[in-house]
Amino acid sequence: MAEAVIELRGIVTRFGKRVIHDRLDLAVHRGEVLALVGGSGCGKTTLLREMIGLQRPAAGVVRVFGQDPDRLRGAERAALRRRWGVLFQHGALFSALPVADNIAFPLRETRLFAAAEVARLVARKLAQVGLPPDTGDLLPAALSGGMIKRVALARALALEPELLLLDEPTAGLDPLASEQFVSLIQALRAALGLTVVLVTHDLDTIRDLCDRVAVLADRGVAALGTLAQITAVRHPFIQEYFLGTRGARRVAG
Amino acid sequence: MAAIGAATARREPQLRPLAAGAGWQLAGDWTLAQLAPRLRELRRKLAATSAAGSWELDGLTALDSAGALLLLEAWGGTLPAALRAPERQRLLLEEFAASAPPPKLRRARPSPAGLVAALGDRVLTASGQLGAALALLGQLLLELVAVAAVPQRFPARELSATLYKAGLLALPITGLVGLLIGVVLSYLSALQLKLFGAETFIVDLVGLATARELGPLLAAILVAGRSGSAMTAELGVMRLTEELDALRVMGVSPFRRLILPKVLALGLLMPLVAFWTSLCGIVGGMLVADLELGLTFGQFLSGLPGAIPLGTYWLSLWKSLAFGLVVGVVACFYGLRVQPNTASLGAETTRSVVASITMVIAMDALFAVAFRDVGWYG
Ligand SMILES: Nc1ncnc2c1ncn2[C@@H]1O[C@H](COP(=O)(O)OP(=O)(O)O)[C@@H](O)[C@H]1O
Ligand SMILES: [Mg+2]
Repeated sequence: MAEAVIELRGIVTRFGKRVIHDRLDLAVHRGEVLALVGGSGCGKTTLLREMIGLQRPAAGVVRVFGQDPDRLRGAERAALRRRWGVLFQHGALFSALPVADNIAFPLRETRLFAAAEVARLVARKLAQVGLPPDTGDLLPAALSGGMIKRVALARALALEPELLLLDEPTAGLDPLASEQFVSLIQALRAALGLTVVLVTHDLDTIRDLCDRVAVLADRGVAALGTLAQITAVRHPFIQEYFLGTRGARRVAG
Repeated sequence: MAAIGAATARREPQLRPLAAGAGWQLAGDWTLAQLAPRLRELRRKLAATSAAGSWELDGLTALDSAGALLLLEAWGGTLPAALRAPERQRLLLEEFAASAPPPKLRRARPSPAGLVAALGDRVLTASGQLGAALALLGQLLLELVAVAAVPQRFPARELSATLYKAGLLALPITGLVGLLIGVVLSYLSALQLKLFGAETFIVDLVGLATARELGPLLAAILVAGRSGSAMTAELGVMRLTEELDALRVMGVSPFRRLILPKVLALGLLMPLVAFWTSLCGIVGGMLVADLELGLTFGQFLSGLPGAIPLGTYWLSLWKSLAFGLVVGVVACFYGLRVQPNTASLGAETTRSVVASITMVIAMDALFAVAFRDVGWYG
């Protein structure tokens, strides 16, 4: 069995009286691309936030690279955080900084690179996510939805993370852009052995990119496995989601 | 943990001269995570190499942009002629070498022409702002006329909400500040008045100063700091999140729905808050007069009507009304100027508070000169 990059055991999440996750277990293996799917509001974003220590579950154990991100302090915590890159659902770009500075921000924070080197790396990241170099001068408010996702991805990639967490990265992208995004992740993964967890509703992305799928339903992981294994599971949500008329076409295709 | 440590050691990035001939051999992970702790040493080693030699990269276990950048810098931007590398790494290096040079970061350099241009820019911006402020005023007047024609369209709920938030909730702080200023003023003058045996004049001094100047001024400054800034930030965030556009699309004018009721509410509540502040100031003065000069509350209060003529109250009332309207208009003006980013939100909120307080004090000076003959006895 492959080494687990992320391990969640017995996760319980509550907002007030509402229970979102009830004793949820999930392991993400090194080098795999895992899709988190589930209905809107079933707690996918919340689960991602718990993985990276932005939110503490009411109960349960979180391990990322064998460590609990919530328990670490100071330099250890910073070192752990540099090993992952996060693409937030709405981009979370720094609205006061131009695109280039947004991407340069984490690079500058390391204090390892001279200004010219940072500029070079930023240009490289922009090219990697398929944006023209002059995008660097724009403020986030001047970007389209798809561009925001790409810039956010470029920023998430800035520190060459081993683990990439993507919250609905292809939502709002046109089909061509989604496809480019999928090939980009594939290329990165081939070059760097990235581990990727992505939340997505896009069946094409799941089919082309993901090794395994975790279906969140009924406050836990209702099914976990390859797309073929998942679609064989008898669960009303899964049947509806993957094998409704639209879904069936895509899974088969 | 131990396993991870061992793996890290094995993949440490290495640069070794070749045994035979001029050349270098790379091994390990040339990735940011592995490079970072040894960056200085590797840079030094790389600086001593030359692209003319042969390079063997077969031992590379991983290469990312940071590693590629370091290597290309050592090679002077192009791949060495004698390079042996795994296909994938070679591709990355080639891509990186061919990638467009980074866009120049534009930094404005100060020059004499630039200074003149900057000055001109300032003047133009200032006059543009004045124009925009006039446009906002005009727009508000038009809305007022439109609302006067159809009074049931007036957003009364917004008005009463502002009255409550900016008026009622401001009473404790304005009261406290008024009281303290009254105490200070009275205490200072008591010391002087005692020297001349003119103790009873404390009533005239404290009464007039608070009712005519300090009450309206303190109230306006506090409300500007408390509620003016909040209004600017509220409108600014609504611009940021496109809520103003959403209003417009629904056919609701943000001027009528948001700005007009806020401005009117500030105009209405400011005289009341000013009166309350003056009252508290007089109470503070009265306390000190009792303690320091032995003037009883009864003596103080019976002296007040003789000290403050009715005209002073009217003057304070109109003055406060003007202050309230100005604070409201300035707050909304800067709120509408917020650009969709956080830095601008902070900057405009600061400007709003500074501008409204400055304008209030300037107007107070104008009132003092223009109405110097109003509200005195004799
Ligand atoms: N800060 C919060 N306070 C209260 N409820 C929240 C909070 N964040 C999320 N929730 C609730 O938790 C549930 C899961 O949210 P989320 O993880 O964002 O869903 P999704 O799967 O669509 O990403 C939703 O019902 C949401 O209303
Ligand atoms: Mg979500």
